[in-house]
Amino acid sequence: MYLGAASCISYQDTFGGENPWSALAEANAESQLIQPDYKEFVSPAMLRRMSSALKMGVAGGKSCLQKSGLKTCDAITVGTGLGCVRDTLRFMKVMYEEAEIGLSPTSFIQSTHNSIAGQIALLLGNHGYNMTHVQAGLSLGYALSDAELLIGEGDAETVLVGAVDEKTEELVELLTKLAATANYDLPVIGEGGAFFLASKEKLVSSVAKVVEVSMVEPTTRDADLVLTNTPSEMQGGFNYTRFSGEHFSSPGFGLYLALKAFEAGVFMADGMLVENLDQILVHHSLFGQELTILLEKV
Amino acid sequence: MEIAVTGIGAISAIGNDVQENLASLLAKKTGIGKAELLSSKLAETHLFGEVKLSNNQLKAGLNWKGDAVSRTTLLCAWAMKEAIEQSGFEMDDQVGLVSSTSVGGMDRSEGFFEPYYTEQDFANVFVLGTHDCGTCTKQAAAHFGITGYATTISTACSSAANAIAMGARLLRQGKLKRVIVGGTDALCRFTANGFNSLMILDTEWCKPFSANRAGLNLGEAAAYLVLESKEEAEARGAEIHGLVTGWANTNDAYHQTASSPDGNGAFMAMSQALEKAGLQSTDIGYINAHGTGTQNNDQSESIAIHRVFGVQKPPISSTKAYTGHTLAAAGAIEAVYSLLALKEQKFLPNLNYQDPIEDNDWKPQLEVESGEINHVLSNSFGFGGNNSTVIFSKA
Repeated sequence: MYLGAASCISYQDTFGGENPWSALAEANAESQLIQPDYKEFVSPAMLRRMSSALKMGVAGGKSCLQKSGLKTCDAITVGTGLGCVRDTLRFMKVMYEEAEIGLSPTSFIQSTHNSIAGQIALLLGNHGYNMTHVQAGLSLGYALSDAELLIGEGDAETVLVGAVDEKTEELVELLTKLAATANYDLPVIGEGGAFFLASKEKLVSSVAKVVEVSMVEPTTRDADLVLTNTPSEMQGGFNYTRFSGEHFSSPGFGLYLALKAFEAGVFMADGMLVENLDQILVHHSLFGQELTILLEKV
Repeated sequence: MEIAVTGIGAISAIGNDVQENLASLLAKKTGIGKAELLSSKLAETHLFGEVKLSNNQLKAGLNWKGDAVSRTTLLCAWAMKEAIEQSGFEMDDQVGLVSSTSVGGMDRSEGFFEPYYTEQDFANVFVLGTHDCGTCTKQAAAHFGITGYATTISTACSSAANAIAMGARLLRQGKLKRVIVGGTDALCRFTANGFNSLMILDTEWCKPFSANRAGLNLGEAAAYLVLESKEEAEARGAEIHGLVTGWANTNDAYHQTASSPDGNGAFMAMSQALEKAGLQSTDIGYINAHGTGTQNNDQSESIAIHRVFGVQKPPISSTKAYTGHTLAAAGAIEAVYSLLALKEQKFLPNLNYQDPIEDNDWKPQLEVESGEINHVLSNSFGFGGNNSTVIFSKA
């Protein structure tokens, strides 16, 4: 399976920027997403009702497909750790405040985890396989694995694969309180969305081949560059979550950086320079769940 | 590779195991009534398909330790236990889990959210650790010593059908030797109010495929299947309940919640599943329809069925009037019912039917009746335009 065209919305200038690692700024609690002009992707009427997860989903998905040069794709697989948490909390808040009377369905409709992949299909008019995986930090990995299975089965040749997680002030407050009960040192919480066009055959836009996607064991694979969220455990690793913030879909940011590095033939960020990139490993470890994506240059 | 089902487990409003579910199906006994356990104002005005066991009873039966667990996870583990024990395999690292749920541990986290939103009380914040869908699957996997591939699908009401299909693909591609697939959802205030806000809940018993249908009843359930290659199953002498022969997942791409008037997504799902199975529509002996009892679904699904089957329709029924709509679990509980229909060679009845839908040239199966069934087609459709079909065949 090959990867190439990619779109990423993050705290960095990844959506429009050609060379996203040239000006990386460390993420902190006040970091804001650098967002595209969503009106290019969605009508203003729809946009008004959309949470940031849905906006990142439709803009990321649509622009990724555009970049691939393909008119359509055979399947859409999306990973998300917490899904549409803003709409979930909004509906719940009103439900308790209004004592379960006279509720508007809008936020409930948009709260379902699959509304991201569903909205992409709706806007693209895509009738193909449509899937949503919700497995904490492994969600992107399972969405990629699903694409591999579809391609292996001969059910798809092109798959739009994405990962999206949004942050709200309330979510951060809840996570902070939850972490305190477990004496867990909470990292800087981030958010973001990244989409990738996966294909059976090598396309003009392809830059890497997926050697392995593993959600099971910590990897021992070597690579020319390791993009990880646990630098202390990986010698020479580059910690991408310092720039994306930590969230269940942060490996999407890591994978985006890897593809951009293959495209440029060099990775140069935060004082680190790696040339001769044949293999890049994207790694993410959270709550004992280990995701590794090993890529090879094509 | 042929995909065999070697274990089935189910818990729903009509029974705590597969045999109890079968007995209720054959006795035309619904499980929908007044909810005793659900904490919601809607429990006073609406009917629900509630599992009769309390969380403490589920925990005791599972020997589950610890308080940080949702009902969704407990139902999941309960049904998984039955499926695993029945299949009788040795657990190893070649066993995976593809589970599904719509709102995960919401039932448990509501215990936090109520005092939080009404009194800014954070006391129960620890239960949020059980909130996300992935945690339900992770906890259940850990309970049974599953260390390999374990993911959670959340495509609303089509989730479990997609889990079954994904399991089949994992086996066919040699990624796993055995995979447990299915879905779970516990009743909760969030979902009940969500469906109520959409004004698609009937306050009486739901009436699938009846002209005067007025909406769905919500239910809770979990059901799981153990899948492995037929070769593997035969080699170890496992009982085979049926084969998973066809599957498809399509998107209606019409509206976030409503089904298209021409049933396009459903039509494509059924057609593609038949193609995958290498079957003609006339090979299908029984259709277990999605049939929620809403105006929109039953109309759209009827049209789609007519487009696929023409005038030669096999017996059709929705079993939602027994269990309620169990959301992410629906595709799994109905997979178990489809396999039971195959095994018993019996068409399952559609309860509460009164009048035909105007344009339908058929009415649903109303009585338990014996007949030849070689293949069963089961539909599961959901929000987000998700339409899925799975076909089960006699071994």
